[in-house]
Amino acid sequence: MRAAKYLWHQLSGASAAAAAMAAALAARIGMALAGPWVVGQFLDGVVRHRPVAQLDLWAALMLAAAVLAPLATFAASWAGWSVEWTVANRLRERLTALALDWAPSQHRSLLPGEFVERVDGDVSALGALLSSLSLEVLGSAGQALGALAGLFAVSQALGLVLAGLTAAVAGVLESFRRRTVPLAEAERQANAHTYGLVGELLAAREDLAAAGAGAYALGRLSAAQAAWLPAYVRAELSGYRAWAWSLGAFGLAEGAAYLVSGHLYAAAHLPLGTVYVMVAYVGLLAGPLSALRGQVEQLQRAQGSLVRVMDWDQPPPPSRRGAAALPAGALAVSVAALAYRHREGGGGGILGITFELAPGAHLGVVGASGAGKSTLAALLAQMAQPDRGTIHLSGIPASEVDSQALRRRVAYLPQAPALFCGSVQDNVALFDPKVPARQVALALEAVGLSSWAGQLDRPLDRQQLSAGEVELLSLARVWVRDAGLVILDEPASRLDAASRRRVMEALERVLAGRTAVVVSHRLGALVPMDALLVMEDGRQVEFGPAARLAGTPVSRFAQLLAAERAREASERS
Amino acid sequence: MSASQGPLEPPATWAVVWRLMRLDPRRYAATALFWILWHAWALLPGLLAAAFFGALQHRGPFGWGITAVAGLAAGAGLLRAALMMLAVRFGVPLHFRTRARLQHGLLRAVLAQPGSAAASAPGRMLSTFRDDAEHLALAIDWPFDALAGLVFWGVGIGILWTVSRPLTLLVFLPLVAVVALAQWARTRLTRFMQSRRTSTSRVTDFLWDVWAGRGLVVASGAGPAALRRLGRLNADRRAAELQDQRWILAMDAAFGGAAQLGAGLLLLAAAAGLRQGTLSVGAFALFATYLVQVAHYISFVGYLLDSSRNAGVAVQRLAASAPKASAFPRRDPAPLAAALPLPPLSELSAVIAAGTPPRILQLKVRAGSLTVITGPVASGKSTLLRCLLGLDAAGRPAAQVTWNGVWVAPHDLRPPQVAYVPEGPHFLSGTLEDNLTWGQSKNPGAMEAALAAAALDPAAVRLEAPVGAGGQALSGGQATRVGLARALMNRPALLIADSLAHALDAGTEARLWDNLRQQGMAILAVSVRPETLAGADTVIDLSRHP
Repeated sequence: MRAAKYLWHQLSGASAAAAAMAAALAARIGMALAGPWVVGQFLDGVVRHRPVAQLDLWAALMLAAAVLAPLATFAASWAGWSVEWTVANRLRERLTALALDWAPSQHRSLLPGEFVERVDGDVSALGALLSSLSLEVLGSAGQALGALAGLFAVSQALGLVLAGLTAAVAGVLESFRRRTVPLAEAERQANAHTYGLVGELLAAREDLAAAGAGAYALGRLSAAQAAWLPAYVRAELSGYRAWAWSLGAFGLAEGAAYLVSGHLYAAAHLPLGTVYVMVAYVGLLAGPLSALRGQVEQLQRAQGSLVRVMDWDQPPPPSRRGAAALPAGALAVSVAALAYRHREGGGGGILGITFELAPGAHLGVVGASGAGKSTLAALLAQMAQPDRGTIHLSGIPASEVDSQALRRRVAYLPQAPALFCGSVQDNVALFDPKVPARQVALALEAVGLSSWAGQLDRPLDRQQLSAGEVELLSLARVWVRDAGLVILDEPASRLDAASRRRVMEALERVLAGRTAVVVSHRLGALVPMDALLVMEDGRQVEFGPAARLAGTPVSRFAQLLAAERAREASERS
Repeated sequence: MSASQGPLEPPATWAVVWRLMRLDPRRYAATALFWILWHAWALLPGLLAAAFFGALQHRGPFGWGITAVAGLAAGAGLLRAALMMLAVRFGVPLHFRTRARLQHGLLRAVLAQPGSAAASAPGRMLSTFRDDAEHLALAIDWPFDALAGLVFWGVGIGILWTVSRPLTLLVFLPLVAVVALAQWARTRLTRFMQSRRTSTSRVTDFLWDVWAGRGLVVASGAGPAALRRLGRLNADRRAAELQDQRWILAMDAAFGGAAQLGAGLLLLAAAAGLRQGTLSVGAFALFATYLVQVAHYISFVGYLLDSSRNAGVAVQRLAASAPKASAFPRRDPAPLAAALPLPPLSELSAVIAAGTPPRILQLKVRAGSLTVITGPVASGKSTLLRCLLGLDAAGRPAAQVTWNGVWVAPHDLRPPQVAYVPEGPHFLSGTLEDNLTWGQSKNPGAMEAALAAAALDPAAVRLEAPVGAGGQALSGGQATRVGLARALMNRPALLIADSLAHALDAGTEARLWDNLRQQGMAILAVSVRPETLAGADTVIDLSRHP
C-alpha cells in the first residue's frame, strides 16, 4: 500500500504524460476488445447470409483499426517512456541530493560502485516499473476486465466461473508477489554488494597486479558471485512460479470456455459469432501472459528496487542549523573543550581541544599520524557535529550559521584529492557557472598551473595528471572562493621542494587577510604560521604563538623541530 | 605481453555467442529444448480452435466432441506451465553462470593490463561489468529463441498453406514486409545505441566521481551545482534515449499494426469463401488465432533484434575495455600468467622511456642500495615506476629489464623478490589481516615482522579490525604504513616505493628508512625530500635528464 502511494506520488510531476499514457492505453484496450467483436458480427453476418457489402463493412472497420491501433500503441508507449524518464531522472537527482546530506557515518559504508548501482540501477528498474511494465500490467488487467465484462454479458454462468478463476489466480499471484519481494530485495542486496566489490577491485587493480594477487582478486569475485547465485535463483524461480500458475489456470479457463459456449451453442442459445467472441475473449485473458516472458525478471528486479529506493528516499532530519549570517572579511575562531569519537568503532577521535584565533591569524596543527588532526579539521569545517564542546566563528556558534553562508565563507580541502569528469573549469569552479573564467585562470596561475589557464574548456585527462598536479588543482579550488576561513588538510605534502616553495608563497598571498588552519605533519613547513597546536593521541599537548614555541627550547614543538632538523642535517652530511 | 602487440580486433558477435553457448553445453541443451517446446506449444490454440468450431458444426477431426476439445485445452495449459518451469530450472542458473563467467574473464583481462585507458574510468568500467555482461549473457538465448520462432512460423504457415494458399499469402505478406522493414531499421539503430550507451556512461561516471569526492563537494557547498550538472547529463541521456527509443517504439507499433492489417484482409478475403462453404468456420478460426499468435511472435522478433544489437555493442565495449587481452571466457581458462621465479638479486638494470616528454633513461639497482628518483611535479616519476613494473600502458614502449644480467619481462617483477608500494595504496573491504595477506597463507611471525618494519606497533594493531569500504577507516598515514607492511610480508629483495614518506611525520619516517636499510633490501623510491636524497646511493633527477 505504502509502495503504491509512493509510486503514485512519483507520477505527480509527470501528470500530463501519465494522463496521455492512460488515455492511449484505454484506446488500445478498447481496440483489443473490439477486434473479436467485429469478427463475431462478421461471422453472424456470414451465417445469416447478409449481403457481401455489409460483410465488407466489417472488414473495412478492421482495416481502419489496423491504422489506428499502432498509433494508440505508439502514443501509449511514447507517453509511458516520457513518464519513465521524467520520474527516473528526478529521482536520481533527489537521491543524490539526499545522500550528500547524510551524516559522515552513513557516507563511509557506501562504496562509489554501490552508490552508482543504487542511484542509477535501482532507479532505472523503478522507472521501467512506471512505464513499460505498468503498460503491460495495466494493459493486461484492462483487457482481462473488459473481456470478463463481455463474457458476463453473454453468459452469466461462464462470466461468474471465469471471474472466480481470475480472482483466484490474482490471489495466488499476489501471495507469490508477497513472497517474492523479500527474495528480490535480498537478490538486489547481493547484487549491490558484488558490484561494490567490483568497484574496489577496479580501483585497486594496479596494487593487485603488482602484488601478484590476481588469483586472490578473482577468488574474491567468485566468492561474491557464489553468494549471489542462490539468492538470484530463488528470486527468479519464485517469479516464474507465479507465472506458471497463471498459465495453468488459464488453460483451465480456456477449457471451461469451450465447454460452456459449445453446449450453449448446441442448445441453440447462442449464435456462432457470439461463441467466437467468447472463445476469443478467454484468449484475451491468457494472451498477455505469454507476452510477459522477459518482463518477469524486470518486474522482480523493480520490486526489490522499489523497496530500496523508498528506503533511501526518506526526508532528511530537520536541519538544526540556524540562519545566522557571517560578518565579511576574516573570521575569528574560538574552540572550547571540543570532543568527538568516531562512530564506526576502531577508536580514534579527539578530546578537549581549546584554542582561540584572531581574525586573519594562521594556525598550524601538527602531530603524528593518527593524532586526530584531520578529525579536528573536519569538525572545524562542520563536516560532522562534535559530541561535546563548541566552535564559534566571529562570536557566532558555528552550528547557528546558515549552511549556505558557512559553505561559502569556510573553505575546506580534505586530505583525499577529488577529480571530476568535466573540463578544467568544472574541476576548479566545481560546476558553479557563476565563477568567471578569468578568476579560474588567475587561480591556476597562482598555483603554478599557468599552462592550463589558456584551455579551461579542455576535458580534464586524469591519466595524464600527476599526484602533484592534482594537489595544485585542489589548491586552485580554494583560490576561487571568497573564504573568511580556510582549512587545509595536508595541502603540500605531495609536492617536490620547488613546487612546495611556489605553493607556500602563493599560500601566503592568499591567506593574507584570511584566517587559516593548516594541518601538516611536516613541522618545517609551518614556521611562518602565527600559532601552533601540537596534538598527540587526540589531545592537545601544546598551543601558543609559533615564534614563542619555536623559541622556547623546552616546548614540545621546539623539541620536535630540533629533532627533525638534526635528522635532516645528519642525512645531508 | 609485448608492447609491439597492437589492440586485438573485436571478435564477431556470433563467434562470442557461440563460445558462450559451449561453456555449459548440457545445461544449455536442456534450456534450449524446453524453451523450444514451450514456444511450439503456441501452435496448439489455433488447432484447438479449429477442432472446436469443427466440432460445433459436426465436422471435427477424429469425430472429437466439444468435451474432448475442452479437456485437451485444459491439459495443454497445465503441461505448458510445467514445460516453462523445467526451462527456467536450467535456464536461470545458466544465465547467471554465463554472466558470472563473463565478469570473471573481464576482471582477468583488466588485471592483466591494469594501466589501459578503459580500466582507469571506473564508473564506465563498472557499467561494462554490469550492463554489457548482462546483455551478452542474454544473447545466448538468441539462437534457440530464433530457432523456436522459425519452427513456429514454418509449421504454422505450413498448416495454413494446406488449408488455403491464397489466403495464407494475402494475410502473411504484410507481416513479411514489416519484418524486412525491421531488418533495415536495425542498421540505423546500432548507431543510436552507441550514443545512448555513451550518454549513460557519462551519468554513471559523474555519479561515481561525486560520491568519491563527496567530502569536497559538501564542504564547498558545491552540491547544488553538481546536481545541476547531473540534471544536464540526465537531460542529454534522455535525449539520446529518445533518439533510440523512437525507432523501437515505432517498430513495435508497426508489428502490431501488421497483424491487424492481416486480420482485416482475412475478413475481406474470407467472406466469399465462408458464404459459399468453400472455407469452413474452423479453418477461419485457425487463421484468426494464428494471426494473433504471429503478432506476438513478431514483437518477439523485435525483442530478438534488440537483444542482438545489445550484444553487438556489448562485444565491442568488452573488447575495448581490455585491448590487448581477450575478456571473453573459455571453458577451461588458463591459470593467470605467473611471474617468472627470480633468483636473489645482485643487480637489476632497466632501460625505460620515462618523463614527460618521454626520454630514454637507464637505471641500475644493486642489492642493498637505495636509489631515489626525484624531479618536479608532473616530471613522470610515478610513471617511471609503473612502467618498470609493467603497470602503465599509455602507449609507451615496454621497459627493457635485466635481473642479474638475464632479460626478464616487467610483469616478472613481482613478489616474493620484488614488492611495490604505490603512492596511495588501495584496500578491499575486509579485515586488516585480509588486506595484509591478500590471499597468501597467514603467517603470524611474518605479519608481525612486516608490521614492525613498517613502523606499526604489532601490539597496537587490531588485525581483525575492518578497514572499511576501500580502506576508508584508515588515516592517510596508516594506509601508507599498512600498504608498506603488505609489501614487506615476503621480505622482498627489492622494494619499489612511490612517495612513501609523504603521509608520515618526520619521526615515523626516520624509523621507517632505518628499518628498511637494516633489512638489507634494495630500495628504489620516488621522493622529493632533500633529507631522503641525501641518504641515497644514487639519485636520478628527472629535471636534469634532457
